[in-house]
Amino acid sequence: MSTAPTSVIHDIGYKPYTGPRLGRAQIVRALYVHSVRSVFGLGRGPKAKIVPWFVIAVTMIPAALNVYAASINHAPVMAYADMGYNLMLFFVLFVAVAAPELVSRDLRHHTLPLYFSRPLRRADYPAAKLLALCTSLFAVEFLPVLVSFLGQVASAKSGHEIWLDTRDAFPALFVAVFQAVLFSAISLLMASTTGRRVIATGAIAIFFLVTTAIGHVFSDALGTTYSPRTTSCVVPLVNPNTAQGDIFGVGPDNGNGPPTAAVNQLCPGVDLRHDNIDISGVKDPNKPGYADLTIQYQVPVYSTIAKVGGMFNPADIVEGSRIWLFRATDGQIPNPSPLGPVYGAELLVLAAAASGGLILRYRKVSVS
Amino acid sequence: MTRATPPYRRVVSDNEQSIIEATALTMRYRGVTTALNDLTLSVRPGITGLVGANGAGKSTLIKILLGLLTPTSGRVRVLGLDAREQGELIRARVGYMPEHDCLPADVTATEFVTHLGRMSGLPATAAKEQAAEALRHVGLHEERYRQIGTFSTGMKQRVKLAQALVGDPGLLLLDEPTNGLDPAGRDAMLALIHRIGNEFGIAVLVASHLLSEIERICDHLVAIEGGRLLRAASLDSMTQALPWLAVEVDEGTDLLAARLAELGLTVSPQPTRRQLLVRLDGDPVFDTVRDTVADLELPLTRLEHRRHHVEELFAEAMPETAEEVSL
Repeated sequence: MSTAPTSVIHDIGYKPYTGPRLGRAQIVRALYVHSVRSVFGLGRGPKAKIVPWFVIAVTMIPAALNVYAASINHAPVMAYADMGYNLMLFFVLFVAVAAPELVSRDLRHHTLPLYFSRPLRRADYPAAKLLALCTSLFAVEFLPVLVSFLGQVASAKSGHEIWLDTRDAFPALFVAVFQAVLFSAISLLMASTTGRRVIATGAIAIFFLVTTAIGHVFSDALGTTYSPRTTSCVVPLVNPNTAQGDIFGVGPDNGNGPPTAAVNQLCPGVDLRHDNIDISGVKDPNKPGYADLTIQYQVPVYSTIAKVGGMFNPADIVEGSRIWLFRATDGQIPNPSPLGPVYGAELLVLAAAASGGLILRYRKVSVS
Repeated sequence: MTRATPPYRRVVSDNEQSIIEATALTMRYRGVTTALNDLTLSVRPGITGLVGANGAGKSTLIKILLGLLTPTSGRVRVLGLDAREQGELIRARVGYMPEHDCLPADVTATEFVTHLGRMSGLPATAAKEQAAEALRHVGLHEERYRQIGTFSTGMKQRVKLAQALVGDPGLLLLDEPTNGLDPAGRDAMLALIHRIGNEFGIAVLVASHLLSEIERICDHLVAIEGGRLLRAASLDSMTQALPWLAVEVDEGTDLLAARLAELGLTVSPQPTRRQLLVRLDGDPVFDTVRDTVADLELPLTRLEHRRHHVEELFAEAMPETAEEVSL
């Protein structure tokens, strides 16, 4: 062909970028989003998804049972406030895998100089990672609480029931927030000391498990004695959960007690899980539709060592703070009273120290 | 923060302006170890070689240029920005390729470069496009969806260059870019850098301890030693041709020297290099040497118009043209 070809493939060469450039705040946000995605294994291979989604699946089991229990008017399988503590092992598993994924990889492959030779400041990197793990863990912890709550609301018979449920779920929110903060900060700080993921995962798991074991040993230390208590409270004759009448069966002729969950709900300060509970009641002569209950029960008295024992484990610290703040009687660890404020203070100090340590750690990382 | 016309482009187009300007730069670590000592230099657009032995202060200088280290005293401006005050803005416009390995093994080249493009401040879609572009420019277009762990050393070096290139920087700081490469890979990398400096119009500062390598692609050379400026000049002024012809034969060097001397040429034997230097007094010298070698039936391996090797100019121990002086 003698004529010039009509179409030619040209090497288009180098084109300078003329589009928008984002500032530091948006870069940090991009790093945060990227980190959250990698926590859940999104944009990664199937192996990276196993642990986070396994944890989510497992924690949904009690939530699903709660929804079912609510639909058939049963007491919840797992109370809101207990979820954080009882499912703790799964959350430890979650952070033990996620934290090394977030920070150990970059240490291992020496990728940090590439971050710090970009507009990010030193503190931005750990802050984005901490925020990412924190919100991810919070989402995982709060999801079963939220599902249980929505199940309860769906089966609720009255606005009052919804209010009672909301009041119950609030301590669970507290637990989810502070477990998320504390677990994330501690596990990231530990993971940021080594580039080897297996070691970081092992160290985090061992730390949480060993301190939990210590807490258990301490909580039984020197045995437990019981002191008898008597309390009375006025409750409606109608079960607030079902709005059905007279299931309390109170009265001189009836020896059966009311459902424990209802008493826990209506008589603050009473935990019916304890032994030797004796409930008697009469209809309130002054208040139609209500009953006066007299509850005799025994309160466990723990040794000081048992009360201190929870201060070594992050989950126990959160639990102790919850017992103190919400005056809870359904605690999973010995009531720390009068050390409650110490638990609260330790919670804040530990969270701040671990986060601060993480930031400091990255001020020292060398860029060569 | 959107800047339609970045200020550095104007800087690049204006040849009078310096890309990097350091004035009386001193850096002491913990007040004791002096890494840079009263260093004053200016780098113009184009490719500039930063030469020095290990520990000469190259990496320290690069860290200061990126605003990651604050110099003990002195002033630095990069792309017209003050490194002390505006490190963030500088880092947004400067691409940095570290010396050591810095790549994760378990992500694809595209994912990695895209992520770092975002970290440079590119919006999500732009980062994807720019990453594909950068990988194409370094010659990894076909392999961009492969995991970096499966790459050869040469390909990994290219990924490192691509992540520095993503987002169209005004200046590239390359720290020992040919580290660990075989001769072919080294040539390819140097050709790539040459192309970036000349076709892409990006200013490049290449730090290396191997002068012989980067002298091939640089427009300017800056040599530092012990934190001081040894010499800075354009490469042309350093490699002027000398009036000497290097002749190398496999055998019979002495015989050839004697014969050439008889013919009235000035001959300087170079026993260490196993070659002769013949002074070029005029064009006939080439013919005379050729004919003499042919007459003696010697196996000629090299006939070269001698140039200064830049190494000689930088080597303090060896003053300029020492060999010839000792004639």
